[in-house]
Amino acid sequence: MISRDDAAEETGETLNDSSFSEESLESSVAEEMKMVRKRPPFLKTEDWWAVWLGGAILLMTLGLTWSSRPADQSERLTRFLALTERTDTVRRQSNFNLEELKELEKERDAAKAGLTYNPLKSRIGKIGKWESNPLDAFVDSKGRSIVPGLLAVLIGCCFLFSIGIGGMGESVPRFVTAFVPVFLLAIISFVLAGQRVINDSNLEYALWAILIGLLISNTLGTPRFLKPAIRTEFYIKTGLVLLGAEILFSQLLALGLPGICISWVVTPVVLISTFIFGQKVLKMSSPSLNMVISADMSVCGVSAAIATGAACRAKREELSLAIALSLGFTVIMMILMPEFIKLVGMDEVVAGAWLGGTIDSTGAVAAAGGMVGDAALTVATTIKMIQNILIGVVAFCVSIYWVGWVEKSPNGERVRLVEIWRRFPKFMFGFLAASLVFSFLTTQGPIGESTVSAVLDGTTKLIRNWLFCLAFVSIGLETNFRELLPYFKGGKPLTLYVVGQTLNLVLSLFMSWLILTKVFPNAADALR
Amino acid sequence: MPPMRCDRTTRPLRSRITSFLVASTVLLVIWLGVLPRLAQTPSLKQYLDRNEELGIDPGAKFYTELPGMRRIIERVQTAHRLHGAEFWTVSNRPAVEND
Repeated sequence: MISRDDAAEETGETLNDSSFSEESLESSVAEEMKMVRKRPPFLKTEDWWAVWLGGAILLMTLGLTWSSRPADQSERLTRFLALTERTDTVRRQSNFNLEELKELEKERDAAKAGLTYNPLKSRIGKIGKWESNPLDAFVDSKGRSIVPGLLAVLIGCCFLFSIGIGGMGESVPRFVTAFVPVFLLAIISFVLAGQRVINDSNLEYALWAILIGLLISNTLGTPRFLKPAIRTEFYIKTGLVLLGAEILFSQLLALGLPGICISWVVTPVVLISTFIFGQKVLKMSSPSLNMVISADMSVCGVSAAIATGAACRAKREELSLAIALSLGFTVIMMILMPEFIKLVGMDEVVAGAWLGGTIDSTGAVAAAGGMVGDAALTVATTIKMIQNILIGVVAFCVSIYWVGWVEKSPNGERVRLVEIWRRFPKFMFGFLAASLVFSFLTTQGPIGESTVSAVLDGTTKLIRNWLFCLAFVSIGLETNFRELLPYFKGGKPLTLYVVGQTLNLVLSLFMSWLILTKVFPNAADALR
Repeated sequence: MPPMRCDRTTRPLRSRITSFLVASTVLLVIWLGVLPRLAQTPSLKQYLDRNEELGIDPGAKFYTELPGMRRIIERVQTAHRLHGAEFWTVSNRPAVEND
């Protein structure tokens, strides 16, 4: 992403936004800036503050969840293990009673969920779905108002980011004043995305957040007082540190070797081929746009675009364009692919693997899999989950490749190690650390799994979504339609997406067929 | 609060406010009028209800956002517990036909 940190690390300057540099700073602010320049990099750059804030949210939630665990946890664990044993025994019987099995599984799930307790769970507001009355979005499934939860998110985010903003030597009151209206725009974006037809068409909040921002910036014009809270990169980087906790490497082997072959072989091949095609054949002038489109098309849509966009410092317009392309094609593929699968009578497991390997967005993969059948849904979402985890590796590799090879030194020489370190997006350390810590926790048996699940489901996943939404609102507020037009010139992004996705469709289908019908047919049977 | 100054537009204020109001009205008409009616279409209603029943949230960006993901992971883990070897060893039997 366009980074304030490059300049900040070179000059110690953090207020390098042109709109701010034009303004004369008052003497007290200038004094403050001098003090900030003297601070070590890990206390004055956005990258490091994203690590500290994301880390603080994760550690605080983890600590609260652990300290609130039930007193009879070991008894609950024994009960859960006994239920698992019983469920497996019933499944092994050749003519098991499906109803009995479902009841047992339900009981077992409840027992697992009861192993831990996250006290923050009901305190984080999440805008719900609605059909005809938008006010329904402000009530949870139990009929309770979510307004207190929204206020908690607003106050919590405002407080945490104020610490970061203050740490970087910027005006906290100006940030707080601006943050509230930006947050309100994020609420509107979630409400628009929560309409059931829109939500179930995979038109995610990212699109509406950008559009709401664009609507304001291109009609009324973005009010200057909002600028301090328009912090696209800061929100994205902090959100990515939180996303790191959801990248659980233990899930990588969920489908054993078939899953690895389909997800870990095809995806990198398509990603690299598409990037090379964009650079060598289409000769795209922006390698970062090329990379973001290649990643969102081959890995997992919007989340991959956000992660790789941050890793290769893509411009906000490039991220918007990549997301729009991805969402547009996802809607088409989500509708057409299940119809094609039914038309040709494709095997459900193969179909699931194909859907999971090709449709960008996780939600759309599930919707398409559900249209084909239960086995297709299981395989499709599991393949997509493995691809989701790939974004950690992809983002890390892209950031290394970018600082080492793409962003060459001014004289064209190979970049030295110290320079690679200087340019490396430091928030990636938080992203990777979160992933490793939470992956380790999930390997610690049912209690570890349940704790991670409680932390992610109850808190961090929701905050991460709010941060990404704030980032997309910021993108919209900073973007002018005219700035987007040059990216459509010559139709290269569209050509890149279509060519890359065609390769993805062909390779994924071949690999799914080969692996699940020729090499591991018994594994495919086990998933039916 | 600092004065409200705006960026990147030189159009008269009246024209900008009109554009904003027109765009907002279009959004309101679509979201409050068209989409609720669409949601009542039998085929679409069936699709929406089925997604809810299966724990599918098509708006999910990441696997952790899918309400039904836990059930799916449990199902795959069960398949692993019962048929673990099949996921790690190449099969000797001929290809499976659709059954």
